[in-house]
Amino acid sequence: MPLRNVPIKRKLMFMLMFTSGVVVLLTCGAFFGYELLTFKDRTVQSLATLGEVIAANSTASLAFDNEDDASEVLSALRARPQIVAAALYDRNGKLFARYPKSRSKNAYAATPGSDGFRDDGAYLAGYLPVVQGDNMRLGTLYLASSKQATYDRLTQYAWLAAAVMLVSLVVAYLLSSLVQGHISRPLLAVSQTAKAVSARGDYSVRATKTGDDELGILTDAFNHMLDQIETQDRTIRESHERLNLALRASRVGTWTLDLARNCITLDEFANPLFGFPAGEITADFDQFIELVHPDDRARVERELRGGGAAGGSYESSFRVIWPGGAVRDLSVRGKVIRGAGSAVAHMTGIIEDTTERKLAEVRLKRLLLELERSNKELELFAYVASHDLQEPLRMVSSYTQLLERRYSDKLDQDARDFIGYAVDGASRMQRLINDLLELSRVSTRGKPLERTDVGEILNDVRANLTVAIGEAGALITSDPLPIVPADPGQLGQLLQNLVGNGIKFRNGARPIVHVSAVEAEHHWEFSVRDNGIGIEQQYFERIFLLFQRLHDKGEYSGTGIGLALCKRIVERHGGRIWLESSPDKGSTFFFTIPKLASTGAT
Amino acid sequence: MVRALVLVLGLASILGLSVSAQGATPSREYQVKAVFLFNFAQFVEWPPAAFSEENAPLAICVLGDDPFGSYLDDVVRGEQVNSRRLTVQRFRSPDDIKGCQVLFVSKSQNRNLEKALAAVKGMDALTVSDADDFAERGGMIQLETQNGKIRLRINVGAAKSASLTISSKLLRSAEIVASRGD
Repeated sequence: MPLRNVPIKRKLMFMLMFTSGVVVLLTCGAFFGYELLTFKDRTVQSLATLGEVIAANSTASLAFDNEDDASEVLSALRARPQIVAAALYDRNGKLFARYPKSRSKNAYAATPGSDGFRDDGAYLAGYLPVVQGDNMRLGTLYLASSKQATYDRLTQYAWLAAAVMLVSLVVAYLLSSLVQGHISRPLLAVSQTAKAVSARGDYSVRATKTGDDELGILTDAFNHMLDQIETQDRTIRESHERLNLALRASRVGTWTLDLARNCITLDEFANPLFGFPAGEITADFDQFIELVHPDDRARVERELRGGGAAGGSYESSFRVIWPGGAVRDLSVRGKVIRGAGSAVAHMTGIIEDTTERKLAEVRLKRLLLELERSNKELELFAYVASHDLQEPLRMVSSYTQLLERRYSDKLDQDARDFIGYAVDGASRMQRLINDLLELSRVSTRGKPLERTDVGEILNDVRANLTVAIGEAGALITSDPLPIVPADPGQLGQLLQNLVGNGIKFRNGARPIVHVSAVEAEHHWEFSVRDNGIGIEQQYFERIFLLFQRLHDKGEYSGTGIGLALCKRIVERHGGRIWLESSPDKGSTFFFTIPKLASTGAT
Repeated sequence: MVRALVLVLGLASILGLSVSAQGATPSREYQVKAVFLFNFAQFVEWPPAAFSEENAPLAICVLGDDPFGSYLDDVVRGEQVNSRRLTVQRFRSPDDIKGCQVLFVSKSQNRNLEKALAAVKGMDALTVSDADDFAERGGMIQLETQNGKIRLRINVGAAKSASLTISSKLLRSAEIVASRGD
């Protein structure tokens, strides 16, 4: 097993043992080296001492030529096994005595060498002077020491070093197995916790902290990480549950198409949309496509295999045939997820049943058409009716006027009064019919919407109202006004009605009417503010109804069609109209005009 | 006949039975004995009273016929023992003896040996001789020839009575004897 795969526990022990082993080895090596370096010197020293003793003891033997005595002195060297040879030479350099006796005479030098010790390879040998008294040289002592002793000694040292090493390693092993736990235990705790987390997916377990060192910090960080994961896990679970709830409630399913593996996965909500029992399935794409209605099959297959639209999103609808034979409309929306090399890896999205919605849409469309038709009929009827009513009315009016002109002096006062009422009623009816006609023309005779400068329109309105403005001494002011899509004639009618009302319903003070516009996101909001008599809030709705008048005919003239017309025009442009007012405080009428022409225009 | 002659001559040469005249080179045996006499000076300690003055030379005296010839003079020439020069003196009669530290009594004095020893008593001289039973007769060191080797026989008592200290090393290589009658 490579070192890096060895458990930390053993790695630590190995490190401790390795370190102590190296230390012991170096220490032993140093001692051994020192011994090796000094051993020769010490051997020579002890050899010299020994030699001096022997030499001193041999003086008399040499002086008085006593060979036996000399041999006896030399034989004392038996106690020193490392001395392999010794000899005495007399003052003339002749071999006098030797040790051991068994050694051949020829093994000794014929004459002594110079004084001093030297290493001759096998032995450490040397010559010492034998001196009596003051430098009285009597002869020479030869001593040869075996180096075997040195080797034996060094071997002993090596064994000793090995023993020390062994003991150190054993002690290091015992100590390290005691010590390593301080480091390996917290790490093992963390790693076992990590294992438990990954094996069981249980994020609630925690590693036990043993200290405040780096391992403690690691443990804390690890536990903190688990806290976060646990929280995230819970959040994901909850959000998953919410998503499921939403999917279940909206009956929307999700699907994933793996193009590489040619299979599609439908979740528990998507599966029932194909007429299958609830439950997630992964089906072969070719099987799946068989479920699609034959008329749509080729298109859907082309779309899906092609990876949807190039833009990365996919939207389509198709029909499926349920196992029971029912045909259902499905609508899918998805996203293309590209893998490496921008190849389409898979698509995922939602799917929903749109059968009911489609039916409702069809029903709604039919209803709308019907409504439009009846509305048109009604408008036509109103127009035709009011138009055709004019003719007989005109006859009534002209003949009554003729009657008044020709027979006025032949009739009594009562008859003249009656004729006067008839004429008045006819002309009032005439005005009502005209108003009705005008109202119906808002939609029947309306012009297409075009870019219209509201400022210019206001100028026209000022011109049209010159007389009224002059009579009332009114002041018409405005902020800069925008250009909007509108029917210029109708916009003129609208503004003229609102401004005219502002002048008409004055309370004695000089009328001041101010027109302004505020831009919103999709529309312009216009306001026409006056300082007139104001309107009580209870009438805010009523004033926009046809022929509704709040005042006597004598007090303020008019048929009561103005604001109804205004409402009609604003609604035709796709906007709305309302007001803010209180009695004697003046009124402000608001209306909106969309920035883009809406469908209301015909 | 010839063989016997060679043997006799051989023996004569080994034993040094010299008949050579004074001044001639002594036999091998007496050469060795001359060296021994010199060596004794190194293994024996004399009391200070033995010398007439502090730096007085150490005298080696020969009593009677001198068997060494000039050889003994050659041996001691230029040598020093304990910073003392060495001299050689020769006496014919024991009565003449004076100022000796080592006295070699020649075999020629065998008969009046006792007289000679008595003469040096109180002189603290080391008495040496190759006369038979010299040690037993009261001499200190007897040089005895055994198997062609010269061996020492030492009368320690005699030396002690003369206040001389003989080195244990010298004693070890010698045969210790006592005076006859002791």
